[in-house]
Amino acid sequence: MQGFIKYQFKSYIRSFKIIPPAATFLIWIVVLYHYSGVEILSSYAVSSIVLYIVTTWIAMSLFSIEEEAEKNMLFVQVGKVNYLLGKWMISFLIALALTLFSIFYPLLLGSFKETVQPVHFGLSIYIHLLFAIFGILVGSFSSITSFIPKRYTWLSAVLIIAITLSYEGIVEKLSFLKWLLLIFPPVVNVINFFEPDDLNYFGKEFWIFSSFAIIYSIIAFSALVKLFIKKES
Amino acid sequence: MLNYLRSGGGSVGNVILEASDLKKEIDGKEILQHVSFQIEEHASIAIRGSNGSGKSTLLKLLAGIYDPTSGKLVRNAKRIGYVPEHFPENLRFKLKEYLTLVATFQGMSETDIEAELSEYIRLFGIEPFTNTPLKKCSKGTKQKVGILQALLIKPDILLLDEPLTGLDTSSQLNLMAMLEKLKTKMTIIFTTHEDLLVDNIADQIFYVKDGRVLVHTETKSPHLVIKVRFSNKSVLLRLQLNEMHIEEDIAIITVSKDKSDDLLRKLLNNNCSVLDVRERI
Repeated sequence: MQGFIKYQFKSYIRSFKIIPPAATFLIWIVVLYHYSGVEILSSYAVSSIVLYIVTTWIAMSLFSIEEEAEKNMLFVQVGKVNYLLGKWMISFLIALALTLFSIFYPLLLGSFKETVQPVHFGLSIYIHLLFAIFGILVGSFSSITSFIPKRYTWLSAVLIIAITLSYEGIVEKLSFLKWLLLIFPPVVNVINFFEPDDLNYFGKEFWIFSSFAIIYSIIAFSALVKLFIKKES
Repeated sequence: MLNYLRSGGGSVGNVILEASDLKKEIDGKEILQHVSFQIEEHASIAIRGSNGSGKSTLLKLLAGIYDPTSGKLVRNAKRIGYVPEHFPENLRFKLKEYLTLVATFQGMSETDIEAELSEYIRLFGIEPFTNTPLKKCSKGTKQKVGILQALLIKPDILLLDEPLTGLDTSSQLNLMAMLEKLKTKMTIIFTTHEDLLVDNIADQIFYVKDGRVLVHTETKSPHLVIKVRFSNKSVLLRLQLNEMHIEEDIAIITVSKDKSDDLLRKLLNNNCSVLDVRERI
């Protein structure tokens, strides 16, 4: 697996497809912390939402770097499931690097109005990585399943991101969609806790929603493996 | 229609591939159906058929790239090597770097990889291109890399999709010589339109006809393959030989056994040196 990760990483970097999403993210973070004296948790909430969008972009571009013959060879060389896991690992590792930049850049600049405590660190790493996982899920769903015709993959990813970010507004207007929308990543449910910038909000309810988000991710990844195998059969 | 095919002739060896009533549909279109066969270890099988008949689909099924829509396919092999018809055009690696990376997929140590790679690179005659980006390599070199990546993993089954595509005559002969050597070490299955490859390598032929029916015929026929060095090409052309491949001053001629004595006499009388005469496999 290590060899395949190395292969994929080199191939992706040399394709230059990482530049647009990574540059977008870095610029966004620089602009976000242009002003000092900003709130800690809500700022990290914003950067994690941007990471969600950018990781979707990265995952989708990662799934489009090979032509058919190369993909066929890789299927034989490493197996279909390892191929998929390798792509996810690369997406996650890149998201991890962006997360570290996103967390430490404002600290280096001293952008926050308060002193950052260990709990802020823990929560910021958690929210960034969770949203990176959501991004990988959305990007993968749009790229590797047979539900979405190839020409609509980007459109479907944008649509899913829009729905997940405007979940509350949609449910308010169209309450009958409440349960149907549960199939999408629970982005808003988790991010809502970060907006007040108050650690007191992180109680039992936060952990319930977090557990749901993690269970959701595990189920979604398992379902994606099955859908991928079905598509590539 | 069910065709039950057993490769390898008389005695029954270990079955390495077994297909039972395979069916494959792609986008709702039936490509293969009712396909059943057994392939024994160290068999060499040519898959033949017209364009679009389903040859490559069958090869991809055997490789595990595709899964059958229905039916059962058992692979008693630890490792399978697959060589696509067209080597990918956009690989972003240098030749040796690519092969080294592929070898690491199987957990080979760097020392083993280096030793093995050097041997193969020398054997395939691609030393001058080891540090050349694959995008800049010729079609023939890429084809060789395609075969090398499959051999590096030490496969029990080697699957090749139109392996002679894009190779010049010299490379074709080299590849055939190599496949002949490999025949004793692994099972080789290839799709091809080339008679030369079938004549020299295949024990058996699987015909994929109308994209649906798999037919099997023996390849063994009373033919001889004669290798001669000639000084005047027009002499050979005058003989009006049906199966002849010429590379520089060497010709490889396939002829039926009953005509071989007469042909050999004519070749010798016309100042050709007979280098090799052997039965077509």
